Amino acid sequence: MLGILKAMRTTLGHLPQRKITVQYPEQREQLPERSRGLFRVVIDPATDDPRCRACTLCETNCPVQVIRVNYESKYALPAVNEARLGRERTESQPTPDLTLLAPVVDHYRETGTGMMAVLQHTQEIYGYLPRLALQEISLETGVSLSQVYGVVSFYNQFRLSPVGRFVITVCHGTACHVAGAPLITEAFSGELGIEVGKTTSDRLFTLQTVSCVGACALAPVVRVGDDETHGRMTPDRARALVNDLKHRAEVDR
Amino acid sequence: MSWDIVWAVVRLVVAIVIAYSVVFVAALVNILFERRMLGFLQDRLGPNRTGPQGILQSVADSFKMMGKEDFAPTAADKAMFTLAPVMVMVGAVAIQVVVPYTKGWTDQNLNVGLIYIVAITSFTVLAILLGGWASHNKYSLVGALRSAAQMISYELPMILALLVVAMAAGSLSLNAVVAAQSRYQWFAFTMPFTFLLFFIASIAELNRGPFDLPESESELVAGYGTEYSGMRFGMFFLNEYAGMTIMSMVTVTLFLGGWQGPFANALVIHGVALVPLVWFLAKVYLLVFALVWIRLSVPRLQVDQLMGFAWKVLIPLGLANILATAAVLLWAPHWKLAMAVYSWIFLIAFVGLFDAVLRWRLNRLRRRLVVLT
Repeated sequence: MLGILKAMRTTLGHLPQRKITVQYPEQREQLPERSRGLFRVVIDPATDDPRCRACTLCETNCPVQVIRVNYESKYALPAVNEARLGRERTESQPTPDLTLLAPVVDHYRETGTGMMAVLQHTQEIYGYLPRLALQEISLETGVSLSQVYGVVSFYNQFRLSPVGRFVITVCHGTACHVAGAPLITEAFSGELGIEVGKTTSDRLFTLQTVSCVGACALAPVVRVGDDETHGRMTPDRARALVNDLKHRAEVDR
Repeated sequence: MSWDIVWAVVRLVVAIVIAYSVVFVAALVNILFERRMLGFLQDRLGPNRTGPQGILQSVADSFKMMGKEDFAPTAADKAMFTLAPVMVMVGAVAIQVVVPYTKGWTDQNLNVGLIYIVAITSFTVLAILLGGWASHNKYSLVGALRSAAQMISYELPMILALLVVAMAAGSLSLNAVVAAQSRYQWFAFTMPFTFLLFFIASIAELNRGPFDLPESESELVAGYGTEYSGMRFGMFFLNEYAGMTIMSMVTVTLFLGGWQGPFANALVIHGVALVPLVWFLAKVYLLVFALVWIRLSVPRLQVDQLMGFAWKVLIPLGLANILATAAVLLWAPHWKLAMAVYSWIFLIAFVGLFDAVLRWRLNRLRRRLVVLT
């Protein structure tokens, strides 16, 4: 009984207290200055530029999907990957622009899935994934740019920076390693004058190593681009290959 | 065709309409009052959008209820099913006949007013039982039986407290009870223990506050109102809130001096004094606020605790109260003073010792029946 009286006194004590109801819409809650619930573009007072860099992480993470980031890009599309597409195809496309992406995106629209396929086709066309191409893919498919970037950055095969005309890939799998792949890589590195993973300054060659290409009978294996595979390499033959490619590049010019 | 008969019929109809209107309006006002008060006591505002300060909220709720589909279960007893919600208001309406609203205004000055009140409060029990049975639903039946059992169990302490009031006032007529509380000798001050007994019993009688197991079951699982929808359920619902006002009116009449208050003779129109009416309504709504307050503060009792409280605590105390009051009335020289002293001592002892005795009994039970507790 005493407990009940105490409870009653507690309840009654709430009667004169301020009511916490916010009578929307006449009254609104005041959000803190740095609150993230507010949608606004913050202008940097020093430069008068928006601080937003269009990373579209907000668009990706919004739980109710109400954000759409519209941006203009300062990036330009590069020339298409001549080594991949061949002279005839590139010449039939006078201006390297986004029309090349149209069939890729259409395929995505038709099937509804396959961001990977879209990205692979795009990388085929340009040799890497330019920022503008990713933006265009994002705008056309409705997937936010940060989500596209998430897929791109996850897989090793997608390159975000341009590579040389000839991508020299040295296999470092078990059989190739045993057969002397490190010597091959050293030979290439010395001949081209670049480290592994880098590109020569004349943008002709990129040297990279992979785990295994699966042609262990031909160990050690070197691939040039996606089309050529050279088996049973030796350091001498590697240097000869480099000269051969340089010659080929001069001829094509 | 005698005009007297026509006139009598018209007066009858008008009287019924007025009586029902008072009950309905009281119920609607109570619903809003409770929702707003619950809000204020919970640090929030109640409904305040419909109409200024939300006064049209109950009207809006009624319209909503009336617009609902009206159906009855196929197996239900059609006549009883329709009759039960109609009957449930009868208790609330009929009590108004004897309640003295103000000086010079009692519909019927029955000289057995208290017995009449006791009889009428049983009507709700009948209506609930009828509703539960007519639904042809075993859960409704059990809910109705529980509710009815609770109400009849708590009628006994109510009646025992009423008897003490009758003894102190010397008459069963409500006007005499009010007159006996003149000069601010309200029975709530001179017999507080009886007031407490009556108040607790009336809360349980209304299925309110900590004793609302039947209606909480309706909200949660089942209960006598399961098969009722729309306005049929609205009748049960309104009756609960109308009962709050009506029972508070009875409590005010019996214990808080009815319409007594200062300036009793200020405004008198046709023999009906208006200022005491204001006092009466103020006291009634004070008690209604107390009902809302208690509903908010006290957790719900389980059904076995409910029945145990009635039969093992309130009824023995009520009987002891009658014995002691009778003894005081017979043998004490200044019976009013003696009654007040005894009642206050009893009240303080009850409030102070209740927790300790309860804990002792509970421990004794636990030692005896380790498994069941």
